Amino acid sequence: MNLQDLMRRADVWRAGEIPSAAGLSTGFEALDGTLPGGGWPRSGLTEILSATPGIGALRLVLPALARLSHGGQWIIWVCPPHIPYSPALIEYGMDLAQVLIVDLSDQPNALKEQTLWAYEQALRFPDCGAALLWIEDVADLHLRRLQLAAKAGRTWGIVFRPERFGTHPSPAPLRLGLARISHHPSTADVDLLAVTGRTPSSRFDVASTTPSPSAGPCAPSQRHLDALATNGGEKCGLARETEAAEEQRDVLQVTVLKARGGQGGTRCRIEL
Amino acid sequence: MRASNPCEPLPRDFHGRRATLPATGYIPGQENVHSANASTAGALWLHLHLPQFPLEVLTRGVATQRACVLTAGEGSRRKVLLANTRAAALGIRPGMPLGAAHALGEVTVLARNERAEHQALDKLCLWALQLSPQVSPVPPDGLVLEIKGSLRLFKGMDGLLSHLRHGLRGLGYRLQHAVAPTPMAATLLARSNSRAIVLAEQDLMQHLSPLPIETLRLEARHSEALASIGVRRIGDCRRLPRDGLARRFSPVLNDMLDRLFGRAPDPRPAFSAPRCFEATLDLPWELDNAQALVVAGERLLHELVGYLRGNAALTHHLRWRLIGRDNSHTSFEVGLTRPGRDFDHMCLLLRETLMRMNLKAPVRAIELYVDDIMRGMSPSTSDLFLGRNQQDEEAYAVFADRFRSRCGTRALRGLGLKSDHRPEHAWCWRYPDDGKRRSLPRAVDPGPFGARPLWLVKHPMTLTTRHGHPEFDGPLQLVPERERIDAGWWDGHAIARDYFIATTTKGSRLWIYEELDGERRWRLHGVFE
Repeated sequence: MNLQDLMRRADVWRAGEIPSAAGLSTGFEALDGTLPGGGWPRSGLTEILSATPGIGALRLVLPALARLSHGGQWIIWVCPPHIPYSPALIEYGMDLAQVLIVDLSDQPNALKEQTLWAYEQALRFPDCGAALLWIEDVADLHLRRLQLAAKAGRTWGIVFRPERFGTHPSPAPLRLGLARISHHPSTADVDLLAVTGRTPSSRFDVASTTPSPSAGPCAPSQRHLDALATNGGEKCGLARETEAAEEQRDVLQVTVLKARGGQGGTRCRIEL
Repeated sequence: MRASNPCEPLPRDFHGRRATLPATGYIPGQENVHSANASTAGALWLHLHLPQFPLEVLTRGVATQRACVLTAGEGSRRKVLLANTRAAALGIRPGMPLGAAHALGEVTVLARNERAEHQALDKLCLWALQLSPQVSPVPPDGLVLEIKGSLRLFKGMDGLLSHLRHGLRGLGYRLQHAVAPTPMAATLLARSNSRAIVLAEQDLMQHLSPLPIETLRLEARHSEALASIGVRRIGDCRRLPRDGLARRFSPVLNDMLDRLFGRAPDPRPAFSAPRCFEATLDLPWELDNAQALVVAGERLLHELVGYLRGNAALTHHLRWRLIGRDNSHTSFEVGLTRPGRDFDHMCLLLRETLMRMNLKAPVRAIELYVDDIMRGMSPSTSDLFLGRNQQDEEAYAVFADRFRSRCGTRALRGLGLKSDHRPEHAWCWRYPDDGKRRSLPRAVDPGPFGARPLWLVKHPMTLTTRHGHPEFDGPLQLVPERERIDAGWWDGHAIARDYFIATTTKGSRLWIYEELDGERRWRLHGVFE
């Protein structure tokens, strides 16, 4: 195989190559400005790594999912940790008729292979707009396969994983680190660990208007910093803002920490 | 007037009447009852002759990696009747003594199974109904179809023949075929492997004359008598005087020749399809690997698809049964989200199902039973009135079927809403075959509810408490507003709870409740995100 053949492969990414397709608006202006293409990628994997489950990873993608569902595209949830609650999904504007849940909990054997198989099928299904997966440990090889499937099926694949997997290599063109590391329990940081077409260190805040009791500040752990710093051996850093959160408000901060090509770290803040 | 025919029983015609055949002196055009079948109607007959049929019936269910021979005779005088390609490559030829065949290499010896042959021929007729409505079996190893009316559908003779060859390959049979204006001529030409396509009756003589007299499959005494007077070919036979022939060989021979050359009508019983499809395929040897059963399954699926096409029907429910060595049965069902008859799709579903199956015992036969036949439907019109794009529906059905065949029928679900105040009753699962996907509301009136979490915990988790205060990974911060839900006394699932939004020290927001009766326990019921 010569170099030309190699470069034509779908899974070879050239540094400096910026995704041309217009992104899918996230519903948050600041995040749109941060992500290459002005929004979520329409195909390929996006990894979202949360320090603690339930701090807003799903809320970050829901506006875009709702829009996809109204466009007649399927939203397929593979092995969600709990039951996606219909009344709340409706409140977020989701078209329930387009939601499919893959539940393999009654199949004890070969659960993981089955899950990955199911997710790959969902990614390859052309009418599927977005496929969501909750998984912990998964081999790089498998993620690569999933990334190719997402590209082939032109599906946006969202993989939710615990934060500790931020150190693991990943072929996903976009990786977000999501952690509530601020002084305020209802303020969360979203770190863009990897994003194709941008340099790292974009950060923005996402604020939500839900009631939030106050508590003392909590610093990011050294492990978290290390995890981000070693990610892929590329330029990483953790930008931290410790501003006083306004009353009754969740602030999500997103920082682009690693990117494959592109320019300029961006920092922004968003109110949900 | 009824002619008796000692060789073959007279078949019934389309209307179930006994066909009457004039013994001699038949003049074309006089008899018009059988005009639909008589050669004068310009019919065109295609005969399918399966030279290896008795052997293939036994071996087509497996991917043959072995040399197989079919034998005839008893004891030490057993002879090879048929040999498959692998056996032929070893140098084994039909007619060879079995001992000689064994000396040439390792061969699997199979005994003839006439019952299986009979059933397989029936299934083949069933399959052939997609080519023509007029199909009749010619036992033991052939069938004849009237194809004049089908040529347009298949865009000419070439299209029809290539469809036929492709189909027979899928079914696992080798094929010799010929086309002629009379059924018997087609039969004779196909048996002699001439691949002839004779369209006009006047050309029949030229094609049939050189054929050996044996192709007529006469009774032994007749063929011996003919041989003794030096008649070896059909052309020789034709040159003999009719009267003499009738005297010496009973009217049968004249009769046959008349039918052969289209001077007498030759009605064939039309094969009619049964109401449901049922097929069994016996395997030549036992298989203990479920994936090896795919070949046999494919053969049956080919038959099913042919049957469905011939009947302009669809199905969405296939019942399979694997019969084990000890007559134990393993049954499984393959459902289609949308009725269909797509071979590739059904094959994929079968493969997925077999892949995750553990066989209890080696399998010796496989059965397919389909009684859920929807007639008068074609795949393209079945969903005419659905609002959604046809192709989308199709793609969804393919996706959903694959999923369900591999992960179980309940693995893929949709979400629904119910009008109920109790959180666990305000939603429901929906399954792809519910058929109510379209009737969902796109938005609901939020009503006087408080905030609802994005995740509902399936089995509410009991929380530990410290000084009456709930804990989850440390003390929980509770929002002072509470939502009281007290409902359900009417159906025996009464609840009385106070719901709170709580925040953990790590920042997750939870939906918890305090029971208002009993032990007043705290439980986790949802996660907000």
